[in-house]
Amino acid sequence: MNVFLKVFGFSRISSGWLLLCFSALVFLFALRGLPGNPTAEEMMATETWRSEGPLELSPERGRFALLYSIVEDESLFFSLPVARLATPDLALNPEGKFVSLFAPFLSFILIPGYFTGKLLGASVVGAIAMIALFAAGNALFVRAIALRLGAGRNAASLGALTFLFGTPAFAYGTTLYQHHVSVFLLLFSVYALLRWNTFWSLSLVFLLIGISVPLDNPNAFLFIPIALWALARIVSVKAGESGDAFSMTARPLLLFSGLIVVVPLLLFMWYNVTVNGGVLQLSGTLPNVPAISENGLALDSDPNQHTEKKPEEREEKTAIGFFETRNILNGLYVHLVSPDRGTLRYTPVILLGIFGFVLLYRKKKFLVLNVLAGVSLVTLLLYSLWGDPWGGWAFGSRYLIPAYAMLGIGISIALEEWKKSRVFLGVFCALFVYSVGVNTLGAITSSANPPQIQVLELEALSGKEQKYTFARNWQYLHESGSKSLAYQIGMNRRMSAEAYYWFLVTLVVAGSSGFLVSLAREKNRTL
Amino acid sequence: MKFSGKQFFGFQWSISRERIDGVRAFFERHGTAIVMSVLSAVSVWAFLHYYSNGLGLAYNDARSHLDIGRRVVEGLRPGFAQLGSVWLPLTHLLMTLTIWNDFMWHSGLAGALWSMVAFVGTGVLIFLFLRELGVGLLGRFVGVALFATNLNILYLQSTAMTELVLLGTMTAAVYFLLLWYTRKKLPFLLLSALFVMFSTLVRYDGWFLLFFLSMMIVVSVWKSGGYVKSEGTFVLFATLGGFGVFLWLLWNLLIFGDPLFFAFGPYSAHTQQLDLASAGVLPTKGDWLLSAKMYFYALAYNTNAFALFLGVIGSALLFFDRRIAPRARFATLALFAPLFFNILALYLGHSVLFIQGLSGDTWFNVRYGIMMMPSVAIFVGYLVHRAAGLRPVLVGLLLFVLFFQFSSHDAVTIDDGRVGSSQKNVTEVAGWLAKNAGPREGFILISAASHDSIIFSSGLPMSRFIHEGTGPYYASAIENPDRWARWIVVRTNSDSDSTWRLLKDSFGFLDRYTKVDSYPFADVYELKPEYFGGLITEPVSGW
Repeated sequence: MNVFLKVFGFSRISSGWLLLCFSALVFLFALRGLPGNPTAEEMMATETWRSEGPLELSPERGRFALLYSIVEDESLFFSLPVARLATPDLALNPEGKFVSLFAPFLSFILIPGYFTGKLLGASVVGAIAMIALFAAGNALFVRAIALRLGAGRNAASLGALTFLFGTPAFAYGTTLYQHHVSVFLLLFSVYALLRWNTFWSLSLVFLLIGISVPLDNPNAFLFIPIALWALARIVSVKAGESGDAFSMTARPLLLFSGLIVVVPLLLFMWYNVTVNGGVLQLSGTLPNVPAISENGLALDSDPNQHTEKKPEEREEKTAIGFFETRNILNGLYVHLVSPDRGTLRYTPVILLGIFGFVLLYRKKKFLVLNVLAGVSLVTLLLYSLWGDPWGGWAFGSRYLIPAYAMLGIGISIALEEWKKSRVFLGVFCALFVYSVGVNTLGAITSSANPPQIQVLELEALSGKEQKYTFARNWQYLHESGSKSLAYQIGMNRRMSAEAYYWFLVTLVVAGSSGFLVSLAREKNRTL
Repeated sequence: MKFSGKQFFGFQWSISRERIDGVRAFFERHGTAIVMSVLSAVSVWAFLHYYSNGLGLAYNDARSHLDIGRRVVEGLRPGFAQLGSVWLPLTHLLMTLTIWNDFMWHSGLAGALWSMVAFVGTGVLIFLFLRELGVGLLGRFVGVALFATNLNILYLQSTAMTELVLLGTMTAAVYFLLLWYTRKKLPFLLLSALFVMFSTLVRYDGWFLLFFLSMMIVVSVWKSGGYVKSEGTFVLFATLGGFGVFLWLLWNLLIFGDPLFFAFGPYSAHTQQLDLASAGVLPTKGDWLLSAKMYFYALAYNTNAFALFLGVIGSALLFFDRRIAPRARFATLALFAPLFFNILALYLGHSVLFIQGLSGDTWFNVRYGIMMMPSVAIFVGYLVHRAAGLRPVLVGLLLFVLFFQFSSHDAVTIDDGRVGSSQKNVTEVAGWLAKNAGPREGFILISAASHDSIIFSSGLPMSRFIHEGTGPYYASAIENPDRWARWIVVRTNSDSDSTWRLLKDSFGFLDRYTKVDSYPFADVYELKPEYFGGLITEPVSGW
C-alpha cells in the first residue's frame, strides 16, 4: 500500500487523494450505462442498448461482443445473436466462424468489471466502469510523471485534470473503447523508466509493451520510443567526466528482462492461431462481415445501408496496408484543425502542453522529452497515415488521446513555470473552461458524430440538416437527453439534461479551480 | 577502444575522444566522396528497378524528349534544327551524345543518364550547402538522405524527364551564390551565373531563377556598396546568367522567324493554356489563393507532408539563427525561388496543375511539386543540426515515415505517369505499326507534336516517319499523301492533330486510304494497294 501511495505521490491528505476522489466523483456522474444484465438477444431486440444506449457504436459492441462471448458462452467464437450484435464490425475466420474484428485483449481486461457489474445487476455498467478506472489511473500517472519532472503538486494535478476532462479522453472514459487502457500502459511504462532502474522495472516495461499489441495492434508503433528507452538501459553511452572519453556500458543480463515480452505475445499468437487461423493473422485483416442474413449467412453488404463493398475493400488486407503517406496531409488537417475532429476545436487547451515540452528542452531534459514528444508525434503521424483519421463516427480525435496524455504532462510543466504569469494563467483558464465545456458534452451525450465528409450523404438520406461538430452533441442534449447512468436512473427527475450538463461543467471547473488557486498562491521553485 | 573492466552484470568499454574526433575527421574529409559513391549506387539501382518494370518510360513527355534527341542524330532530316521550339534544348543536346545507339534511345537511358548525374550532383550539393552553413555531419547526412530516399526523386531520376537536371543546375546556382555571399570571391558569382545559364536552357523555371537571383544580388550589393556597384554586379551576373536566354531567343528568330515563337507559337504552353482556359479547366488563373493551395498540395504530396512540415520549421529557425552570418541567411532565400515561380505561373495561367480530389479526378503535372525537394532537404538537415536535443525523435520520425512511404509505394509522380493525364498508353497502335509497318517499306505520316509517344513506342527508326520537322517531306506528303505515306496515323476528327487538320479535306487522303483500325489515341490509315505504284519509299538526297 505504501508503495502504491508513493508511486502516485500521495501523502496522508494530498492533492493526489483529492485528484483521485474528484475524478471518481465526476465519472460517477458521467459514466454511461443502463441497469440490467441484458443478453445478446435482448440487446438486439431494441435500440435501447445500442444506438440509444451505452453501446451506440460498433467498436464498442464489437469489443463487448467478445467479452460477452467469453463470459456467457465461454467461447472465442460468436454465436449468431452475438455476431449480429457485433455487426458491422464483425469478421469471418477461414473456417467460416464469426469472430471479433478487434484485437482481443480489452475484452479480457473487462471481465472483472463485467462480473462485478453483473453481480450488482448492471453488467454493461461494470464493464464500462473498468474503463473509467483506467482513466482515473491515467490522471494519476500524468500527475506522478509531472511530479517526477519537477512540477509541483498543484500544477501536476491540473495537468492531469486537463487531460482527463478537457480532452476527448473524458468522452472515451465513459464508453467501451481501448484508448484509456493503451494510455495506461504507456504512462505506466514512462513512469517505471523514470522511477526505477532495476531488472524488475525493466521487465515490467517489456511486459507492458508486450500487452499493448494484443490490446490494440497499432500500439506496436506507439511504444517504439518506450522500447528504445528501455533498450538504452541495456546499452548506454555516456561522456566521461573530464570529457576526454566516452564509455559504452552494456548490461547483457538485462536482456533477459525483455524475455517477459514473449509471454503476452505468445498468448496473442495462440489467440490468432485459434481464432483467426494463423499465427500472424491479425483480427483486423480478416474479411469483414457488415451484415448477416436472416438465415445466419455472412453478407457482403448491409441491405439497410445501401452500400456495397468496393472491389478494393474485398482485396486481402495487410497490417501495414492501412497506413499510407499520401494520407498525411488530410490526416493532419483532420486531427488538428477540422471542425469535426480538430484539436483546435475540441481541446485547444491541450496545445499549451507544447510550451511544457519547450521548457523541458531548455532544461535539457532531453531523454524524457524525446520519449514524450516521440510518443505524441508517432501517435499523430500514425493516425494521419491511417485511411480513416476520423475514427469512424466519433467524438473529437479519439486517436490522439495518447498524445493528449503526454501533452497533459507538458501542461503541468508549463503551469509550474508560469504560475505567476497572469497572462498564461488567464489563457489557460479560458481554454480550460472552453475545453471542459466541449468535452463534457461528448461525455454525457453521444460519441456518434459523423465525419464532415459523410454529412452530405446523411442529409440526402434523412432529408434534414445534419450537424457534425459538437453542435450535434448539444442538439442531442436537448432532443434526447443524456446517456449518463446517474442521469438516467435519478438525476433526470431533478433536472433537465441541459441543467445536468451545466452542473457537471461547473463541478469540473470549480474542482479544478481549487488546484489553480493553490497554484497561483505557491512560491516559485526551480524545475 | 579500451576495455576497462567488468562491472557486475555489465561490461564497459571506453572510447577516447581522440578516436572519435579521428572518425569524425575521416567523414569530414571523405564525406563528399562517400555521398557521391552511395548516391551513385542508389541511382543505378533505381534506374534498373524502373527500367525493369517499364515505369521509366511511362511519361508521355519522357518519350517525346527522347524522340527529340533522337531526331537530331537520326531521321529524314537530322540536325540541330530538330531541337525545335517550346521545350528548351539543353537536355536534348546532352542526349545526343549517346542517343544514336538504339538501346540508349529505347531504354530511355540516353535521357535518364543525365537525370542520374544530376541526382548525384544535387545530393552532393545539398551536403556541401549544409556544410557551408556550419551544419554538422549528422544534419548533412540526414538532408542528403531525405532527398535521396524520396520515391518521387528516385523515380524521376530514372527517367528522361527534365526535372532532375533542372534541380541540379538550380541547386548548383544557389550553392555558388551562397559561397559568393559567405566567402566574397568573384569566381563563385560567375559559377552561380554559369549554372543559372544552364538552368535557363533546361526549363523556364530557370528564367525566373535568373530574375530572382539578380534581384537578390542587386538588393544586397546596393545595401552594402551603393547603386553603382550593384549595377555593375548585376550586369556581370546577368550577362553570363542570361546568355542562355539570349541564345534561345536568337534560335527562335533564326529557325522560326520569331524570337517569341516558343512563347506564342502553335505548340507553346500559352496556346495550350488558352485551350484549357476556354474549356474551363484552368481554375488557378487569376486566383492567388487557389494557386497557392494547389501548389502546396503538389509540394506536400511530392516531398511528403511531414518532411515539409519539418522543413518549414527548419527554415524559420534558420532565418532567425544569429549564429549564421546575415549574408548566408539572406542567400538561403534563393531556395524559395521554385515556390514563388510555380505559384506565380499558376496564377498567371502559364502553368496547369491537376490534383486528384482537388481539381477533379486525375493528376497532371503534379511533379512540379518536386522542385522544392532540395530546399526542404536543406532545411530539414539544418533543423536536425540545430535541435540537437531532439535529434533522436526527429531522425526516428523521418525513418518512421520513410518506412511507410516505401511500404505504401507512395510516389505521386508515378501515379501521374501511370494513370494521370501525363500518361498515354499507346501500346496497341504502336504495336500495330511495329508488326505491320516494320517489316514493310514505306513512310509513315504522323504528327510528332501529337503522337511522339507512338513514334517512340513503335520501336521503328526515326527515318521511317514523316512529321512536321521533316520540312519538304512533310509539305509534300500533306499535298500528295498517296505518293509519300504508305500509312497515316492521325486522331480522326481532331483538329488539334495538325496532320488531320491539314489532310482532312484532301482528296488524296480520303479516297485513297483505308482505315485499318481505331485505337484509343489515334487511327491508322493504309494506302490502298492499287496506289503502291506511285509510292516513294526512299529518302530524297539533297533534302
